[in-house]
Amino acid sequence: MGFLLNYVLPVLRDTADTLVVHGKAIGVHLSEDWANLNKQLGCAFLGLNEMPRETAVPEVMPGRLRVWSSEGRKVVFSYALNGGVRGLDARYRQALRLVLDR
Amino acid sequence: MGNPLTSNAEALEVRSAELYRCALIARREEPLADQTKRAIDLLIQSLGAALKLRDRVSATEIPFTRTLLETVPDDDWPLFLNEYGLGLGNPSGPIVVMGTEHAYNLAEFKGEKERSDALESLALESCGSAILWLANAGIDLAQHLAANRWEACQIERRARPYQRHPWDVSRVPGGHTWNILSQIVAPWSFNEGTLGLGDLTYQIERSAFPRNKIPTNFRLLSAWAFC
Repeated sequence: MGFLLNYVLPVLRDTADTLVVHGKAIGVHLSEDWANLNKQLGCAFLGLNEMPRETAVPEVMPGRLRVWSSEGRKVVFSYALNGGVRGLDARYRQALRLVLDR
Repeated sequence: MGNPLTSNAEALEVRSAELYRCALIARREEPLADQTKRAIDLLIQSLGAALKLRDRVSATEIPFTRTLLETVPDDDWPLFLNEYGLGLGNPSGPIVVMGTEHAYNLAEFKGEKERSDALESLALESCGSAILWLANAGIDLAQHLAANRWEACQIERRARPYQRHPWDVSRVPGGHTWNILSQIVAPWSFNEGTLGLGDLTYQIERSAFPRNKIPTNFRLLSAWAFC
């Protein structure tokens, strides 16, 4: 995990403008360890010591996307990407697409 | 003076290979079955060759393949998990996608094909990750690591590098991340002339442990300390 935080994410932010974090560790009942780790991953990508204030999410599917941004870079926590495979509808795709296009 | 972005990516590939090689050398000192020791030795040798030769390395210098994993006792497979594995796709792409764990399973197989599919994923996404990136390899080296599992027609149809476009040869069910992501980031991608998933995203997992093996708090802390 330290490899991701200390080496991979700092290198990738040179070229990428968006980090989409998804999967089981973004679920509703998130342990404190995973929540803290997610924050650290977001900070490593944004190049900040603390996550900035959460920014607005598209209204078409607000509950499934959480977005933080700083100086043109975005971190998106998206727990519906796979967990909601069966429920992945056009609204969700539209919402995430809107975030990616910003 | 080289491109700093390229240099950073190369440094990352070297770091990945070195850390994984060090971890394997440490695991090699544990009491292990002979087949396991042999597979680890040949993987260490393969990583060394890739570190030394980089994009000049070829299959002849890489003795490790999926076939070696087939000889290893099932309980020893986790010894080959790579905590320092790199992602799939384009490291210079605009979107980084980070999931929780790899989609394959290393236990409770429904049949021989599912078992072989899992070992193929282990060989390519864990064991061979840094080798493929360091070699800047085409599909041939991935085919070698997978021990020639893919049909010739699969290879001939689309010969793009596995580490950038693994979905060309590894078939996944409709609900797999690759398919979902593709619908979102590249829904227009209908031919090889347009940018697709492997051009626009770099996908990397938080856990080296595959499906159903989310790391415990202890593992998170120990992995952190090790790095």
